[in-house]
Amino acid sequence: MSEQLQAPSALIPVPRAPAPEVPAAPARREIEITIDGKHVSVPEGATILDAARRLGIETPTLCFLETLTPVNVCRVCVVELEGSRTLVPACSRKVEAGMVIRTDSERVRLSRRVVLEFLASSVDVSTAPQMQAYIVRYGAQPERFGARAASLAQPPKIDNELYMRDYSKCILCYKCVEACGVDAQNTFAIAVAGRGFHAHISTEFEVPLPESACVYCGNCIGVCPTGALMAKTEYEMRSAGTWNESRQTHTETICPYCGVGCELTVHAQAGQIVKVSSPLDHSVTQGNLCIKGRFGWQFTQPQK
Amino acid sequence: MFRQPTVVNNVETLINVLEIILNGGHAYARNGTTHSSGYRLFCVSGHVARPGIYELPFGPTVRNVVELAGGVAGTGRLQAVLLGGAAGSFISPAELDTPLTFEHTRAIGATLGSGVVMLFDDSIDLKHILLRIAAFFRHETCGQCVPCRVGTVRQEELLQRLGGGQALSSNGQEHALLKEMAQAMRDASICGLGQTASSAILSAMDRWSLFS
Repeated sequence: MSEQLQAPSALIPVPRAPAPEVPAAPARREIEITIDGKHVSVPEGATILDAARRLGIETPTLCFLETLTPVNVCRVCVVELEGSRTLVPACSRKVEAGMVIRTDSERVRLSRRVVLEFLASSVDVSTAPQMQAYIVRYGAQPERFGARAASLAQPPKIDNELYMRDYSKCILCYKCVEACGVDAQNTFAIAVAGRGFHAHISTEFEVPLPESACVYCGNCIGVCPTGALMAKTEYEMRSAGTWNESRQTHTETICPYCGVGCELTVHAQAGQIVKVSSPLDHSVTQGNLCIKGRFGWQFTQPQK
Repeated sequence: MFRQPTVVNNVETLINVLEIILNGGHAYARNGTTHSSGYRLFCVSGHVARPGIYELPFGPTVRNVVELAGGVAGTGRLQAVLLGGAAGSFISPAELDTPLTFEHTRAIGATLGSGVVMLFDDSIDLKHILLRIAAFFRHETCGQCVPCRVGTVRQEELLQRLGGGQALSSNGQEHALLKEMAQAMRDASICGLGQTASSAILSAMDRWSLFS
């Protein structure tokens, strides 16, 4: 602190002081718990889901995403915790020393199956491959509530050039709300409106998207687990029957626009870009992009 | 609240705290039973001569409370008693000698809940009451978690089918379906609303063949 940093000349800026050393975080205590009869140690603050994953136990999740704050609303990840009156959500329940957990008991399987039946009898899961896989895994039979079971069937909302919103496919996982809000974009264009079975994702006062606060970053589309939110290009290709993921190539590249250096995954089909996404685990983007990176690729291909 | 320990309790709890402070915990615990100490406000309503709030130590039987409130009104013939309100459970006249404590109600698969003791005479169509309870929970669910948001809707639909003689398969299979839904709602809902939304309905269907 004593010696003053001097600029070598008037044209060269004063060199910066050396960056202060960041003190190393104290080592986190290891917590030991038992899952399905196996002992596992995870750092304090980890969740039951983290511990289960460490043991290679597959736990279904719908509303959970590594990059978002857990909201534990879908309840498909519930596990049996010894001493607990109810099942507990693995995605958000933090480990405590000595917990004894069962992830595949009859009780757990029943709740997971019924939750999947509740969802799949209310919404269209045709563009939700992960949910379809869970439905098979747990032997869920959504049709058992009868043909007259109330559903959320409604026409898709297409009120802009970039997004299609089909709320007949929405399971209300809150991921889009979180991605639009404090977990990523801080735009707050959408939130959950209404109550009960008719709770739904909405813009302020239900205005069309172009009149809302939406900035078209598409991060809501990036996190939607059911295809309720989709880029309009993908929706149009699917409607025309030309969307074919098995014929698509994925190319990793860097966004050509600004200097942030976002990683892009370019999805191309028949030599045309059909979609752009970003890997969830990328240190720069954590899956998030802006309107330019996600939608601004038309200049690379001839206009029809 | 404001990062300080916070108590959010109702008047019934706070008035008990007063006596504990004045006379000490041991004196207070001499009222009631070992596992249900102290006093309770019983809200006696329905087909009863003198409906009202009755403050009693834990432990009188349902019959005692009914007698205290002047006995069964209406037709005078008791059909059912709802303990604990919409999230509680129905008991039959054969269970009137159950003491009103946490442990004794639990032992017969019922619950004390909010302290509601609601009487129904034999002119009442319990099927209609169950439908009203189902509609209440479907209306009250906030919609946050799946088991409660959808389960309360499916439960009402199921009762409507049974009430309208339009069971999907047999009445027995509908009853089994309701039991599965109820278990998932009780086990996987976030809060007490979803966890207890099937409690009263199932307790009635387990006790009486209402829809056959």
